[in-house]
This record gives sequence, structure tokens and C-alpha cells, in this order.
Amino acid sequence: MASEPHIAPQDAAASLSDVEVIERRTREAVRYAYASTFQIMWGTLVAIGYIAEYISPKTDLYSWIAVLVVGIIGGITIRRSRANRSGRPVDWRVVYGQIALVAFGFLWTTLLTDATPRQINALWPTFYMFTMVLFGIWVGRFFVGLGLVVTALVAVGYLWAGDWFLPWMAVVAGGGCIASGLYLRRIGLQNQTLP
Amino acid sequence: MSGGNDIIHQAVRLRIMASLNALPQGDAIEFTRLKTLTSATDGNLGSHLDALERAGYVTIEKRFAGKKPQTRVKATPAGRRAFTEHVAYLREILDQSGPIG
Repeated sequence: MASEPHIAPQDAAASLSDVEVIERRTREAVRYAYASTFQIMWGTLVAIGYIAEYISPKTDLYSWIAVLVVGIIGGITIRRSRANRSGRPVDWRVVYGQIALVAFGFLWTTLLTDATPRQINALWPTFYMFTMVLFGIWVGRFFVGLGLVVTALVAVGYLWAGDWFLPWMAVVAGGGCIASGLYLRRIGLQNQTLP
Repeated sequence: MSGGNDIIHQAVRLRIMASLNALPQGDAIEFTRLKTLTSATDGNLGSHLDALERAGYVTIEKRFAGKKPQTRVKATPAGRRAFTEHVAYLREILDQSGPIG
């Protein structure tokens, strides 16, 4: 049986502060691991979407609808699979949040009839990255940095990439998500805490 | 006042338990990740994990992930309970001592 230590208030305060730091680091690492798979999946899909639009601009609506449908179904499948393996229920709030995000994007894509395809193509990822910044304020600084960097690079491409805007977006928005997902996988607790 | 726990109170063991307790219930963490999170060295972490395992606060599982050996650590229900009680004890000490200058 454990004996009782004599602990001074200063030591207790230092220990509690230590506990708080470690708990925060661990929870961040768990969240990063969960997010990594989704980042890689969405990054790949978005890169495919921009390349598809670059190759065939006239069918861009269909290719983007396909990207969003595959992304949402893929996200649900991954969550279901994890829930089955861990025995914990799926958190449907995240799925509803994604659907709300997509619906909001489509609403403005439809209503902004005077907007050029270039403006719409810049709007979507910056909107997504804005939500990433908000998400990051709660769950981890990494997402704040990612949101700000990708938004800045999208703005650079929008202003100066010329005819290379869509490939630029594939690399910046798609590649940025893939690279961040791989990084999150490295620093998170993937394959250690998750089934 | 409830009692503190001498096994858990040691600085590295407290960090280990804080990290394991922050994981979702039933989840384990790989040794190298735990080492990073707790800023411990290999030998240090290993010896403190042994002490916690002897106390019944953690379970240590060794397995192979492909060809790589992997050590996974998980808090037991008794370990989570002991950690929670010890943290409550630390808070009680602070509450009773008033502001620290």
C-alpha cells in the first residue's frame, strides 16, 4: 500500500502545474492523431479536385461535388470503423459540422453569381482554413498555424499565380493538408492509442 | 483530508500517470511517445514504469508492430483512481494553505 508523503503547498502547486502541462500535451497529441487521417484524405481529394478542374474546367461542378461526397462518406466510414474497433460511439457532431460547412459553401457558391471561378476557388479553402483556425484555438496551436499559412499562400496564388492558379491551389491547399496530416501522424499518438 | 500517494507523487511517475489518465479510457500509449510527453530518458521511464506496474497502476504490453518491437503502456482502473485521488489531495493542500506568494 502506498504511504502518505508530506507535501509542502509550493510542491503541490508545482506538481499540479506539471500535471496540467502533461495532460494538455497528451490531449493535443490524441487530437492530432485523430485529425491526421482526415487531413490526408481531404488533402488528397482537394488536390484531385483542383487538378481535375485544371484539366477539364467545364466539368468542374461535377468533379467538386464528387470530391465533397467522397470526402463526407469517407469521413463517416473512418469514424464508423474507429467506433467499431474502440467500442465508443461515433461523434456525429463532427459529421454534422462538416455537412453544415459544405452546405454553407454551396449556398454562397450558388448565390455569388458575379464571382469568378478563381474567386470561388480561393473562397472555399480560405473558408475551410478559417474554421481550422477557430478549431485550433480550442484543440491545439498547430491548426491555427496551418490555417493562417495556407490562407496566406492561397492569397498569394490568387493574386500572383496567373494561369497556374489551379495547380498552385492543388499544391498549397491539397498538399498543405496532406503534409500537415503526415506531420500530425508523426507527432500525434497514431498507432499507439488508437485502435 | 484524503491521503496523498507516495508512489504517484514522485515527479516522473506523476507525469506518467497524468499522461496515461488523459488518454481515452482503455487506450494505451507507445513507450517512445510517453518518453517524449513526459520528457524522461529511456532508463528513467523504464524504472518508474516498473514501479507503477508493481503497484498495479499500469499494465505494460510488449509486442511486435511488423518487425519492430513495441512497448505499450496503459493505466489500470486502480491507477486512474489513485491518480485522481492524489490530484484531489494536492488541490486540498493548496486550498488549505491559501495563496502562495
